[in-house]
Amino acid sequence: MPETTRPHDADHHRGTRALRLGIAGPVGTGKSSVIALLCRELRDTYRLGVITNDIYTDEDARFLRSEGVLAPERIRAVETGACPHTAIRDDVTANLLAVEDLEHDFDPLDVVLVESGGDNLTATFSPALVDAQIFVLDVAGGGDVARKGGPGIGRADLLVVNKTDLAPYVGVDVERMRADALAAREGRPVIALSRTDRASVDALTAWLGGVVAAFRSGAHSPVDPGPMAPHFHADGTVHSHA
Amino acid sequence: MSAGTTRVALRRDGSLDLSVGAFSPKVLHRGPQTARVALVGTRALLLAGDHVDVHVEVEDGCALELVEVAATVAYNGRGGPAARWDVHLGLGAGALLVWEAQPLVVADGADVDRDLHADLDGGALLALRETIVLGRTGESGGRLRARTTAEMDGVPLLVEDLDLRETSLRSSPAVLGSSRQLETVAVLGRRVEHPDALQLEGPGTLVRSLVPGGTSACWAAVRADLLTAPRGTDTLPPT
Amino acid sequence: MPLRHTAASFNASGSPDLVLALLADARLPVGGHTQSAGVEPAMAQGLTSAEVPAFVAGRLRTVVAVEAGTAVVARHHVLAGADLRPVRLAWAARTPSGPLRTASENLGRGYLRLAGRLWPHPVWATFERTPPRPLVLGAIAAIAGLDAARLVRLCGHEDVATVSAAVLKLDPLDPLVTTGWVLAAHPLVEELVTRCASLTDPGEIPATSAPLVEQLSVQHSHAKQRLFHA
Repeated sequence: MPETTRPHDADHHRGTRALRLGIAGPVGTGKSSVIALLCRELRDTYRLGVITNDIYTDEDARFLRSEGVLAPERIRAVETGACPHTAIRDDVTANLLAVEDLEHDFDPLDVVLVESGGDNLTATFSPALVDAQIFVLDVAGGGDVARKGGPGIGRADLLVVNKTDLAPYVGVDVERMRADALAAREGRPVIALSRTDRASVDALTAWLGGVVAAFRSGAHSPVDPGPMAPHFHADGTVHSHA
Repeated sequence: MSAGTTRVALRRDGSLDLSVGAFSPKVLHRGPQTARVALVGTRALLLAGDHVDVHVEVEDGCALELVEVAATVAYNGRGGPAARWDVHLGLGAGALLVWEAQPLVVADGADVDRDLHADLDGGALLALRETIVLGRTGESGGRLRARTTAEMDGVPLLVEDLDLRETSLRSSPAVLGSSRQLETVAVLGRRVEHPDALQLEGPGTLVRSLVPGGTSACWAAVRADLLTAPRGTDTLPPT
Repeated sequence: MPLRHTAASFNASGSPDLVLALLADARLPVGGHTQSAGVEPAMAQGLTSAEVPAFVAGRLRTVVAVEAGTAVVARHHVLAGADLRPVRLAWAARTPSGPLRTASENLGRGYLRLAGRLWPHPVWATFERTPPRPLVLGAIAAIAGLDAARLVRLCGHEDVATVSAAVLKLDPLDPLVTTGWVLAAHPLVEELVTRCASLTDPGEIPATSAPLVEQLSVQHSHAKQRLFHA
């Protein structure tokens, strides 16, 4: 029978399957270009596969194939029935099967990147689907987005503030935005990224290298950025799934 | 009425067994292991209660093409029993049967039960073109149930029950919608590439069209390809 | 390899009505939200919302009968400890569209993931990697104590509910209208129960075909823009 992936049972898979990395974030922040960048930088280091979840099936998959960063058959599109949020959290079946198929067809893979269809600030991946996730914002979305918070901004494994090269044109102070994000994330990593800023690209690939190493050694455990808002428990404690 | 079984059997030794039923088989071409045979109607078809029975057998390594001369009209049965049209096809190992059936026109008031069964041995190839037309000009058409079963080495390859008896069902946008015609090219024994094809799980392909003549080009290509493909002994001239 | 089960090896202790409710819940995590039961390709070719009830009725009397009949016969085979391969072959021969077989196999994998966890049983180890949905549904019914009639109702309801939910994504429409379609289909679903619930032999599985559903599924699989898998 097929593999049944459970949250928090990464131990079971260590060494037997790829690291599954989710890329979430609002529409238009550059999730596809972050994936293209990762593929371009790391295709000689890792054996990669990509799953996309566009609203209209394969727009993002076609973009990535046209970028030529990976063999086209290693990039697959999954339909979400216009429910991108459901497909990465409430019912991850279609994505999970697509990941398993990629791992099956290109065994062995080191990293499978799963791109969410792009939703709003509340959409994050279920740990039943991915081992780690990047949340992508961009400077064009406004300097105060990071301060607004939300589960992805606050608790994704990595927050990327993308397109920093555009900051002067949209009147955003990148350092300020980064500081807001770091504060919102209580010290979890933030990378202010631009394709044209070599140091930021190196920081991104170094971060992923660290996650892959931790995953392989068993030191990595998936963290669910959690529900949309802090919630109350019966004993009266408030808790925010950090 | 039953007119007995129309039989066309091409034997391994090249001999041809023919018997006359509702159709009279006329030999158009003979080769050592090939034949082209025309099926010519012997009387008015298809009336209420008629039972047409056609048996075709092509033994190992032989190639047969059946051609029909005229379309068949199933006439208004005026409440009489359904007409039955049974076809049994048996293909031995490596045998080839190519059959372009002329349209079956189901007039208003007609009631037809068409049952086709094909048994294929390994390496056999069957290419069949069928056209169903519901009603003559200005009619909406009578009742037709067309059942098709094909097995390859005893394993089911295609089982289909096309139930067009009730207007409400057949005019459903899931079934035929507003179309009154369905053409099917069935190639069983191997797959044929075509953008709109239904590719069976086993070796076989259906190409369908709800538009008159929609499968003509596909059929011409399939037929030419099968008839001219190199065979063990002789090939049928494509005419 | 056929497994011989004793009645005691089946966990039929739950309430069949609650098992049916659980399996019929649109929130069941089996990937159902990726499917439109053929209505997206039909609407792409001009099907209007007003014609959807006729579309649903046509499906219930054709392709859904293949699905429900397969599920019922699979359930019988699992209960009898018989090999499911002939059931799978019968289903495949009755499902000429490759995209529709793939859609059913994707759903089947989703249900298999769910079933293996919720109803642990040795029968799951006998399943291939991509079983069609009705095979898995039939086995779930056998193991979870769902009778054949409820299993057919599940197949019928699921199909109408899938179409109705998908239409809401494709056409601006009051959800009360589409929910009304689900209710209005109940007599046809019960007809399906009469037709399918007592089947036991793979050869008896209905083979009723829906040429437009099949043809449009192939066109949909080539479509550049689609919300739903099939």
